Amino acid sequence: MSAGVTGSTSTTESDLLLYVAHLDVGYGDTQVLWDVGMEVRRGEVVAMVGANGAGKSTLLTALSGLLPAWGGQVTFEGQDIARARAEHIAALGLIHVPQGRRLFAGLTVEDNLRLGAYTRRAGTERGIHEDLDRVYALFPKLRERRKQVAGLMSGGEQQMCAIGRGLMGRPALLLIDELSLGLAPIVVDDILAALDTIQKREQLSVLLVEQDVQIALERAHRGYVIENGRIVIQGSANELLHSPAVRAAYLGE
Amino acid sequence: MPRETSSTASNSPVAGSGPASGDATTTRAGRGWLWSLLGGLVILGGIAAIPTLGSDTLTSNWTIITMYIVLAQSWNFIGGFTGYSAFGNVTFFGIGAYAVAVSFLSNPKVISPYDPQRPQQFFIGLLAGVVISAIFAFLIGLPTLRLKGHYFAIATLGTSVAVEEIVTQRDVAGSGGLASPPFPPLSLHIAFYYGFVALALVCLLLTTWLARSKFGYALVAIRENEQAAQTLGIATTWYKVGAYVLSAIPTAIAGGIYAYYSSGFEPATVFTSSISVTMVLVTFLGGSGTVLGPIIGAIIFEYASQQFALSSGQATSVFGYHFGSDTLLGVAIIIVAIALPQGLVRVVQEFTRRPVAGGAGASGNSRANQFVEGVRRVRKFIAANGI
Repeated sequence: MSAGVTGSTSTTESDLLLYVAHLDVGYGDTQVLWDVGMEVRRGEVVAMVGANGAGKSTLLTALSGLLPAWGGQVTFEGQDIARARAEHIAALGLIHVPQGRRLFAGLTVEDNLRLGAYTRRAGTERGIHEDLDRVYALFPKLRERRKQVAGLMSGGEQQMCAIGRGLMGRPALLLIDELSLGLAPIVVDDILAALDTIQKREQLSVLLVEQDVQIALERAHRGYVIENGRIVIQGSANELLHSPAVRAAYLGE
Repeated sequence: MPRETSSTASNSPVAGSGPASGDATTTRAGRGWLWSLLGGLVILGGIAAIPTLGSDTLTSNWTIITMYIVLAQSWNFIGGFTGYSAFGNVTFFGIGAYAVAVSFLSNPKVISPYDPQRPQQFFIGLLAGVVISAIFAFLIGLPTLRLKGHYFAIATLGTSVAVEEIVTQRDVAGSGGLASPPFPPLSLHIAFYYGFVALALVCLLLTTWLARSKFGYALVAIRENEQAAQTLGIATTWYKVGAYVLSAIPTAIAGGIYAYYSSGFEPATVFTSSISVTMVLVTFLGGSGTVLGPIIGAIIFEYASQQFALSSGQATSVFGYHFGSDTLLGVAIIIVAIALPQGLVRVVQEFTRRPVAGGAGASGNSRANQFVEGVRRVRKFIAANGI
């Protein structure tokens, strides 16, 4: 089953969805990312793990175009997006679920979800309606709360709403920043299970950025470890999970 | 290619209970907008009927009230929907006024006040005011709308002061900007009145459209969280500039009508920051970002300040200070900021809101119960947002 969300039969063309090389990014005079190189293939879940302040969120903000790249190369679906505007990148199907959810707090859950379908990718009213059902089926809690103001929900429900909003944009690649942050482990498990379902079903590509190394590497196919703005280790998730260096640095062994 | 998901997803709501998925499209924002539109039409209809009462004082009072309705409605586009506190929208009002004055003065061949070309000059002036204001809003908006919060407010405030200074120094429409163009005496004084009413009606329709359209939702998304809006593919810069231009246009037309109505004015009267502040205040008083808020806020505040000005005309002085209508403006700002930051319309909405389905289903069966429940919600609402 090679049903890509984009609707493209992708087996023949390049499997490379996102390709990053020699990326330098910073704020003002301060450089945060140094010579970052990474890639995400179609249907793949990739984990980007690292400590607080390592540059994980900065990488995502740069990829989604909120922060201009200083130098280097970022290619998505074969297009150079290193200097593209955020709205253009979102329209290409690279959708960012930002850290801290960043919902439209004063709007209802359903309005939040609908705004996720803002780009033309999401298509007609009927398509949007179908996607709404899809998200509600994935997170039944959201259907219960659809008329509620998003800002008044629990953290877990807000995270569901944020991911649902991301899915409404029919992503080819979903960037999820710190999914587990501030949530109870059981809630995190629920959300990850739902994400797992949809990822497998639709061959969705996901870049999971996490402080919680265990959570991220358990779900991912491959992983990168970022330290002080540089990629220091990369490999299959299993390798990383059993690498003595990673275990020593992040899993307290 | 058929997606497995769409079939599973569309099966589940049929099998499951709960609200049918079918109404997801139809109840999008409820029917609230329709009631707001009807309410607005009724209010404007009532205002349109006032001149038939035959009182000149009443008519001229409500001319100004209606003008403020228009100003608040147009401020609502940038301030209410988009959430950018523009404190210099009076700039466009002044530009509109001066465009009309200059238009009348620029045609010296027309000498007789009864020349048929006169009305034409007025409409040329209005059009020029609209075009200049729109271009100006675009050029000013592009850099200033990058600023956030206080910085944007201060930048826009500065703009209005700068334009006022330029008009004064360059002797636009008269020495020191003192404009008394040869407006033909208009036997139909009521024309100004209905000019403002018509403009308010257009703004009402525009606001209702905004409250439901994709464009309007994009503006609200920017207000709620600009960065998130960007990551969803909304071209925030262009939407913000668009909202700013949209708010400049009716303001400029109102300024043009006011110019004719006032028959003579100076920079200090059509560029005064108190007009800017009033736009902001009445919109917040009524409920910013709502359809009815600016209308209701403008009526309440302007009516009250006219009454206050009347009574303070009869020497309301305390400890030797005279309290004019600006005092009321100041007091109202404090009260709205402390107690009603969400505005009157939202308080009423909170009162009439039905509890979320599935929640405590014991929604009062008796009217008295509903009333008590409503009052409790409103008190909670005010406590949560104000002091």
